Amino acid sequence: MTYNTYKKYKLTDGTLVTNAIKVPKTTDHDDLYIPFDEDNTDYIEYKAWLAEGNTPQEAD
Amino acid sequence: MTSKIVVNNIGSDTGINSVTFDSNIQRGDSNLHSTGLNVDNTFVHSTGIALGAGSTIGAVTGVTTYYGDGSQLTGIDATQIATGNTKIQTAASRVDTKVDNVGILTVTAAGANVTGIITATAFVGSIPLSHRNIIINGAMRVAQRASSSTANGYGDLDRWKHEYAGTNENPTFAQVSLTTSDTPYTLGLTKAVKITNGNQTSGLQASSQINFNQQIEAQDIRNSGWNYTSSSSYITLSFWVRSSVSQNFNGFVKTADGSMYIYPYETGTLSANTWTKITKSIPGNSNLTINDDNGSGLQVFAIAIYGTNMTDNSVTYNQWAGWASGSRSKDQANSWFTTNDATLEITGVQLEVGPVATPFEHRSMGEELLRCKRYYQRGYDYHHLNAQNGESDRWIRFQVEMRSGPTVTTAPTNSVSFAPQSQTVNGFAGNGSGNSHANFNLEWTASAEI
Repeated sequence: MTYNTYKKYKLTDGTLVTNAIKVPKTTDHDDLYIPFDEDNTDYIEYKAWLAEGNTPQEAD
Repeated sequence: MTSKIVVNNIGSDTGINSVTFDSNIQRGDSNLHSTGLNVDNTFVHSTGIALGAGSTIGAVTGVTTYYGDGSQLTGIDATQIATGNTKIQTAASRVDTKVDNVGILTVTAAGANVTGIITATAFVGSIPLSHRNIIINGAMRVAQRASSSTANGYGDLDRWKHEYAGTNENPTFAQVSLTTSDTPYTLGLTKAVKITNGNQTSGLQASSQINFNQQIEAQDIRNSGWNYTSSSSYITLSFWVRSSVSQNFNGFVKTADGSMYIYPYETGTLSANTWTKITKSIPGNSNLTINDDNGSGLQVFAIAIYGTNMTDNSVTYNQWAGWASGSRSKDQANSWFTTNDATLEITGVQLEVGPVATPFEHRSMGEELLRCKRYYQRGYDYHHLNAQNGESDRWIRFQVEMRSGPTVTTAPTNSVSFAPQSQTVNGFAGNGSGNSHANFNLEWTASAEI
């Protein structure tokens, strides 16, 4: 899985938070939104990807 | 005329081997004659009947009462004790009870086989009477994502994950219907997964693999009743498999907590195009660690085809060993892998507590679907954007609480953008934006697979 961006969200009070990782749509799947949940296997894989020295692109 | 001789001994003369009496010798109502000992009424002697070695007792008839506890009866192996409809055949450790000469109860070393209905005041055993099957979707009936895919991971049948690598052409995993000519069909299993191989022109490479597995939550194993650290406590894996190519296949069960352990097995050589039931009874082991949480606890790789990067001929089947990525099985045959469009079908996968495989536990579609939705669910909702700002804040509630906060996909219609956020086990929020007053449909999926 390639994580080439992540999504930041603006709350209604204007606070900008990052509460999900976005994996852009590919031919295999739609946009994936991965929560920061330690039990989520996609997030576990994402952390492993980070540990390898990779860096996600900034959100739009 | 009668006469009476009073003597204290009657013996044969020299050169005479026996003394013959031409008529019965009678004492009171008892007599001794040529057909044996004939005793009327009660035969009484202070020491009973004492017979010498090698003596034979013929048919005993007419006796209404036998005395004695029989504790000294020996040497009756290979004989039968039969009274009407009951036969005890000790030579084969076998008890057969028949009614009207039809076998009802047969007890052998393998267990008891009863033909008919059992009633009892209680049934006590180590195998659960219900909810025996720990595997979800073992009958391959639920396919929320799709009925067929070439995905590397989850893509079709719920709860079943497939992985492949080192292939020239992707294998296809599909839900298929069985027919009356299929043995599992006759047992109530109408669906199966069918793995269709690609054209692997490079053969079985060292890195090649195709596997089909299910990852079970640790807490469901921990609380299953299996005393997994005891070598005398068992779980049993069973499933039906059919291959288009005759080959010995491999699989394994693996723990995922602490120091991981693997229990590798082989199916034995399957006859081509023939359904075969595989059964593996797996003991506990003191080295196993299984946490009481929602992570992966036991991974069941029903079938796992591997190249030599993942095999080692020093592997011993049917026993636990420390996990090593390069020691998942002995080196494997490649007949199936090198056959273009070879097929492998699996169904009726059951993992249960106990040392034997019981018949497959059939569950309703509703129950099986609910179990699957803990790991994957999808929905289709109707929304309307706010007229003032063209946005729509929504909370999507899941139909079943999920194993973890899930990975979500959304597909809104009508040029609306809808990004999910704040996923929890109960649902997720999202903000739609686009043209004000727009109505849109939102199709979403949520995956909390292991």
